[in-house]
Amino acid sequence: MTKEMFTLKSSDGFLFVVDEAVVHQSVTLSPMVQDCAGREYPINNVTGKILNLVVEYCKNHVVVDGGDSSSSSSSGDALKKWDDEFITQMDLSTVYDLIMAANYLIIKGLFDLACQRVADEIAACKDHEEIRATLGIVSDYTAEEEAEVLKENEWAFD
Amino acid sequence: MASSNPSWSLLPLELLENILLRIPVESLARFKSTCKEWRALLDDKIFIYKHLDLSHEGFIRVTDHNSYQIINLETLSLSSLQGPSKIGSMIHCDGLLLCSIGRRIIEPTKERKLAVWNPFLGQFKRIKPSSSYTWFDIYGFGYDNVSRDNYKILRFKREKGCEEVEIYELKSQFWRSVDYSLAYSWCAWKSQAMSMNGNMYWIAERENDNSKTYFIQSFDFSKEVFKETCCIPFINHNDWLLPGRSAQQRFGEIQVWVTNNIVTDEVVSWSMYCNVTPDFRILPLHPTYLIHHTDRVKLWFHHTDRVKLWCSEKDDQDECIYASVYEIGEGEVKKQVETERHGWYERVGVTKLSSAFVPSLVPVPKQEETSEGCSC
Repeated sequence: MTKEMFTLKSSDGFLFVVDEAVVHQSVTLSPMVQDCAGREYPINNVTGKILNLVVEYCKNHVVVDGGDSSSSSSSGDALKKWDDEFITQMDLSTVYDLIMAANYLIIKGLFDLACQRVADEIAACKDHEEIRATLGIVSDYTAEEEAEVLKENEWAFD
Repeated sequence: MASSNPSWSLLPLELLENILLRIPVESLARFKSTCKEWRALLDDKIFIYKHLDLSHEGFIRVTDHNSYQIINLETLSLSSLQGPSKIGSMIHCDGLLLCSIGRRIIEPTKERKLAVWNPFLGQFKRIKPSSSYTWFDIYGFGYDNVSRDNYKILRFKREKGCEEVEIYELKSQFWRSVDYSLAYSWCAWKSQAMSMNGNMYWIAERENDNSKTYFIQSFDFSKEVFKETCCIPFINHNDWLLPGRSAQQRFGEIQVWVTNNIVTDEVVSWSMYCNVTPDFRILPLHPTYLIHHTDRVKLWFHHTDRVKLWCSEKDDQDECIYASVYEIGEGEVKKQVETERHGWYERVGVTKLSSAFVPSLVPVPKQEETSEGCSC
């Protein structure tokens, strides 16, 4: 019995052929299994570069998620290691796009992985200057307002 | 790896929230000054309580006259911070600590003080009493179930045979009297108390016909009434867990007792959770009882079916004291983390004060009189 294959088309025209197990990892795409076999399914707000990463993640997660329930913890560890390497090598701009894509496609594991990467990056910043530099956030505080916010966390003990 | 892509400012709020919920309070507290959107989110009540509900419990303890140590029981990481000095006891609720300041043994003539402190927001506020605080007072700390951020302080005054109860609401900043109608006389072991789900619980004792009964006394901050929750059948006078006993005793055995659900009104019963005999001598840090997990009252902190024990240890050879976290479960006691060592004679008494603790962003309401919101 041959596996059903589906074609996903990115916003910039790239085509990705994937099997049912990959499609099912996306809550948004899952229903298309009934309707779209053999036809192209456009994903209008995800570029080819990002969709490529999404597909790569899903393919890697099929191997373990689709496996039997007696899969050992070592394969769980190996998957976690893969996830860590996968997300760490990306720059934050790509992670941003991945968060938006995983959110739209509703792929929980990928969404959590990407959000956690950003969270870890933020937590490692020592102050707001570093966060602003890392995420390219422009402050909308005046100097006085900023000083006032900082004083909020400095109450005396007597 | 820094990206100067400006799109992060355009991240939808629910996604920003999802990311910030994953960051521990220790870091988040520093970042309100990043931009106004972040500040609004970090000040938002819904976000604060969502974050609190996701946070893992830990412990806080006093290490020196104004130094505190916090341990995160999930990562087993230790961190230190500065805090109020000469603290006599503390009650934790939602990341806030109600601190009693002043130590009777050291400075008996000095006035006792009360304050609310959020260590991670660096917010500290003295609570002025309606009449001077005394060493006979019993305090409680909790919140109203109608409005989670309506924190209340209970003061049970017992002076010259007269018993009165007052409640202070942090938001409105004034004391009011509350009816008190218990027919029996009871007292609480001051450091054996805790706040759970907004209500207050004390290990209490009362005398009847030359014998003592031990029980758990509770105060419901929503209904504002006392309730005798259950008796404690397994404590007796010779038990080393009673306060006032010499710290030099050998402790053979640790018993962990668990109640069923005490929040609902069904009859409370106890069962022994486990019984271990560690091969080391430990000195319990106060409080030794009532470190909670969800809706059960347990003798030690319980996390994912294993009980964590936070205790201080003494090294006779080096004459120093340090604290450790052990995990109890399946009949064995395993050490997980050890803190730094202090000279025994420098720290006696101080290192015993500790509490279960969850870091939070819950704010301490500012004093209305002063314009700067600093010391009061």
